[in-house]
Amino acid sequence: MIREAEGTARLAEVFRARGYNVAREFAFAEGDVTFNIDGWDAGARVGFEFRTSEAGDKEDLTDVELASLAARMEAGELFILIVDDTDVASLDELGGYAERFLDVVAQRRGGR
Amino acid sequence: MTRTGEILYELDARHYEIIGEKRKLDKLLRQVGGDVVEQVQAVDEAWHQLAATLCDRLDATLLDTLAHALHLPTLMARQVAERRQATLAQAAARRRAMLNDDRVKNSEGLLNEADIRLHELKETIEPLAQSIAMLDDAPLFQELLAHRYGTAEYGIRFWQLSYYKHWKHADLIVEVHGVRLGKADFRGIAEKYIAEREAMLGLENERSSWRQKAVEVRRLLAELREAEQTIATIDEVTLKATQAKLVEHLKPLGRDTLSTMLRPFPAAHTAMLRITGIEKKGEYLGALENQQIRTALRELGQQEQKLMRTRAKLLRPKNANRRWDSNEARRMVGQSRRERWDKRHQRWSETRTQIVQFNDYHHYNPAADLLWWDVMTDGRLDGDFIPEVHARGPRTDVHHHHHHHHERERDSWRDSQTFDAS
Repeated sequence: MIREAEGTARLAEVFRARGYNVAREFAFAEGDVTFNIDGWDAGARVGFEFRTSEAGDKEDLTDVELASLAARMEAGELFILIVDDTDVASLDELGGYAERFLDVVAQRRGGR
Repeated sequence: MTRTGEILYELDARHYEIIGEKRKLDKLLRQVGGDVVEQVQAVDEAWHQLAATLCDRLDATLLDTLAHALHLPTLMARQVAERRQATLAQAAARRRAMLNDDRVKNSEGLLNEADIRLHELKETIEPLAQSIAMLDDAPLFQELLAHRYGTAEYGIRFWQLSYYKHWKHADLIVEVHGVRLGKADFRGIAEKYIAEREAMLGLENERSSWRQKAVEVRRLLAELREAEQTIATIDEVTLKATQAKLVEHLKPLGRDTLSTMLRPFPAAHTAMLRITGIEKKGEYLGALENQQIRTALRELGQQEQKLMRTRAKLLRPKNANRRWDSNEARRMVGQSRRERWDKRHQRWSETRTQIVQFNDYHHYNPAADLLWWDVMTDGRLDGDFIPEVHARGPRTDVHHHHHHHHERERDSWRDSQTFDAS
């Protein structure tokens, strides 16, 4: 399993390479959702959250908050890649999936 | 004066002696334990031999005589004949039922058909099973199937990482298996897989049904053969059943009652002596096992522990360079018991052999003042470890007495011409 520090570093690297100005450990507070997001481009409203058992941050986002974020993402208001550490075995794999996510974001926004 | 090292050397030598002796006794214990089990089986066989001696044929006069003498009315010739008839009728009915059963009538055809169908099913199932196994082995295939990937019910969304993991692996599966299965997307492959599994399940059910049919036909044929065998050997079957009834009746009776009952049947009397003798063998072997060998093993264990304690004491640093008084050193090491153990071992092995090999059951005379032990060992072995021998105390006249008695007994049997030496 990937450790949180390695995982978030790789995600930041991919996001930045695609032109996103990602701030680390950003205090996200919008509407009814408040949490410390691992990477966030406030201007583009694109980011990532790496949830691990190791960091004990799987409970940072409640189900209600997650549902609220999901609804906003479906509506195209913002895009956050939610990563569960059990879902990925290597950093390369993680990087590949992040690239695909950003492709989808670009498509949804009509190209970037 | 003796050095500590020298005493330790001697102690180790004693220890090896004990270990060697324990091994020898363990082996003897296993042998005797096996003998005891064999005696239990032999007693069972001896009962059947007794029954066979009493009733060796289905003769009406013999059966009636036995029924009266043994107080066993069910042995009356008329009752035995009725049972014979009932067994015969039952076997005949079973035979008729079997012969009327369509599965028996067409057994050859059914078994052939089953063989052919089972072969065909194997040929069909094998490639299907292979195809299914290939997808079962594909990474994430089962997870994708469970999430219903490629269908409207798929619930993972684009902002979840597993969405991309599923996407990648679904693409890989299509790449590897798509052409083979003639499908262009994961959904098609999943549908094909489900169809193949359902088809295989149906074929497996069909296979198990054919197997069951064949087993059933073979069972019916075996039952038919058994019924025909009973009919063909009805006298033998009845004789065996009658003998079994005899055993069942005689076994629970007290030995005195049995002895009185069997008095008119000298050959059976000998067979009964055989039963008692074998039971005694078991009893004596059990005593040898528990009173002698196990006790000796326990004592050896205690000696070993004592020796280890002395050894530990000598190994203390303060004793390293100490010199010991010779008497003290001798006391610590003790005498070698090997010679005594060897003699004892030889005596026990001899006792065991003597008991196990004893086969002259007819030498025992219940009227004489002798124990089975005396007859088995000719009074040459010490049986003090056996409660009944111990209670009786030592006797010196066994050898003479026994032989004298034996000669007399043989003469009387010869006269009666009923003695079966086997």
